[in-house]
Amino acid sequence: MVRRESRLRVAGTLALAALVAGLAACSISYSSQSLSKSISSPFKSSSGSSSGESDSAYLDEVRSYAAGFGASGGDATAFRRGIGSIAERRGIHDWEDDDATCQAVGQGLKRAGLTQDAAAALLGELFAGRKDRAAVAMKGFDAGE
Amino acid sequence: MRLRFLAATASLLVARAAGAAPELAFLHVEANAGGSSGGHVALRVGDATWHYQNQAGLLLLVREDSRRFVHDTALIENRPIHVLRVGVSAEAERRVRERFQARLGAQQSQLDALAALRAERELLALLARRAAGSPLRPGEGIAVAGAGYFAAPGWPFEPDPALARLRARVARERGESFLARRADALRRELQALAPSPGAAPALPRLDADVALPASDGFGARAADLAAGIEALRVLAQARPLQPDAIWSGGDAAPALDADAVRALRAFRERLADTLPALLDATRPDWGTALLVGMARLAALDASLREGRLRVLDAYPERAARLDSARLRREPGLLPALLVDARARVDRELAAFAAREPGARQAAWSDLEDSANRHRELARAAATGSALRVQPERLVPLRAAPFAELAAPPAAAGSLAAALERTAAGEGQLERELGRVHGYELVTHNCVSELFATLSAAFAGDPILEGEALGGLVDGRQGLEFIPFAAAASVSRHWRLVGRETIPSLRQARVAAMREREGELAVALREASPLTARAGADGARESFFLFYTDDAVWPRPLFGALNLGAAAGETALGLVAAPFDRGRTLLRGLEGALMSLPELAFVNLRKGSYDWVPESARREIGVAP
Repeated sequence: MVRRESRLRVAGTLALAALVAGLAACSISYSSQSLSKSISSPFKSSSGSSSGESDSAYLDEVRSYAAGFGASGGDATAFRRGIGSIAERRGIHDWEDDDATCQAVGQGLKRAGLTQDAAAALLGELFAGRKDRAAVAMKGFDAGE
Repeated sequence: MRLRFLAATASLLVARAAGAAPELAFLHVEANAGGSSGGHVALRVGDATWHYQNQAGLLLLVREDSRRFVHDTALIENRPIHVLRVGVSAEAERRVRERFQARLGAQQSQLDALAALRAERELLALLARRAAGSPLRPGEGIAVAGAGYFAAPGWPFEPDPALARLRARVARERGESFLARRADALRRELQALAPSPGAAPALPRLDADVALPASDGFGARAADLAAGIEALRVLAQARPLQPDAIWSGGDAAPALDADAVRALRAFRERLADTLPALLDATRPDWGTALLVGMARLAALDASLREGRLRVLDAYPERAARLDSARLRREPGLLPALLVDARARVDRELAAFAAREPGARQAAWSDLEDSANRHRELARAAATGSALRVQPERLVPLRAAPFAELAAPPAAAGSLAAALERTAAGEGQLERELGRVHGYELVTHNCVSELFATLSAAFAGDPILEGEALGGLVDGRQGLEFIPFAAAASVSRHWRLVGRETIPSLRQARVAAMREREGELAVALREASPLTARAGADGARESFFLFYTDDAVWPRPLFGALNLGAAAGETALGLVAAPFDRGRTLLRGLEGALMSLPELAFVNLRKGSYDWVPESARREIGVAP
């Protein structure tokens, strides 16, 4: 009897909590949109590190995007537009001139399992007319992650 | 004793030491008012924390810096975090990291595709109106990002010295008429551009893990051409920056020391060397890249001329604003924030100077973001006006409308048909996004999707997943959709190598006070936000009389009193509704809702903070 009452109480408590929780479950907290998050740089992880996580998140995104392209193929123009869009969100206007971005593209192709020759050919196409930048990307391919 | 317990958590939040065994950490965040009131879950992998958030009905994956996640959650939102650590192989960690990253990329590509369809639909609607004979209204046209920083056509101006040098260089290397010829070619291309006739390609059935290719349709190509034409016009005329494009207030901007001058000069030269290459670029969006690059070049040049840091105003045109009345209620806040922001600008400037030439764009972007936030705080503090705010990175993309849009009457029919097709495609994609990413309280929430993505990392193979984690948790069995129940399942099934609790800031502060001042006095004083010194009385909290997170037995009594206080606020809100648009009323109702579970010994509300400096991380045992 006592055990049954206890179970009922637990069930009732859970139902009440679920009712309240359901109203805002998994949603963004208003406090996370308040002063603190709005006024400070979102990508700063500590006073000591400048942009470590920011670059890590950005370069992971570039690698992943390039790996997807390397694995499934597609249109080179769409690829360039896609990388341009990722770089723009990071505040990089000319991604072809950013060494880390170029190397991350090469690393992505390595992750996709391309051979060195295939990667060199694809990078030559993606960086058409800019052999120096294709070479930087190839360094990323050779170094891996 | 408690302080020692707090200090023990510090090791959880620093980056894993090189060579340490790889691990994943399941994070169970306790409930609080304001959002995720049923608690929340996340997965920490290295320095990134992954979690799913309900954003306007879509359950979207978010990647956050782990320290930032703890700062926002345990400090600002004042929610304790329970950390369950599981040892995994390096291969398993890699699989999980790459799967979450790929999922994030796929999600972003799908949202980008929707944004591209929206922009195309708006452009087609505009052209259809033009074809029907309607003139363009002021401000209408293709929004060209980056063009809004330059002096508008029709006003007298002196050429910008940096852009004049760039123009001379292009003329020297490619001929005097190069820019005009290129612009003419782009105009002809734009005039000839027409939406594809016939039915639009069918949208494939959306898969949350499969990326959509970047749009290369009519709208995207028209926007590219418009940006190219605009960039060539700015360069051909060496248009100067608008007076409000960079901050020239006088003068809280940092003075440049010799190292900074050297670095800025080198970056200016690099931009002058590389920007002309964009004129031949194969990337379709070279116009916007050139516009932003030229605006940055002009800002750098101004910095070097004036000996002070000048950056582009990177706030979006419709940035959210914190009203000045709210800032006045906390008079000590802006000065404290200014000190913090200024220190950050100095750090970023030093970091920029130290970066290799090929990495300075990213460092300049960091510096731009910090300098923008600093100068905005300085402006708001000096003028007492509203403060522009933006949680995301500040990227200089101020747009101006491109209005050279011709639409002959003969094209009216094809434009109307294209508009209909694009609108239908947009509607279809919206429905697909809702189907794939739509939030549902029990079946598709932050718990279920986190575990589903984790399973996908092991190709859905339960044997592989079980071996990697020590056991299986589905996130959909029984009550597992509730975060604390999911955490209990993880505890039972995964191969845990450790578990800790990161206290909330108020918990940590009260614990420290108890050590210093004694149990009883602190317990009595800190029981109510009216007398507490540990804070957690964020400006947007509903009115309540007692904290109940650390008071178990008196919880129903406190809950009843809190319910009474909420009823009072609700009654007040009814009276004030005509004057405050129902804000007080809504807060009162929320307060009542948060008090109800307390009657049944369940605590949700824990208080929150409006702002917490990074240094406060020490209080919960984390290095700032």
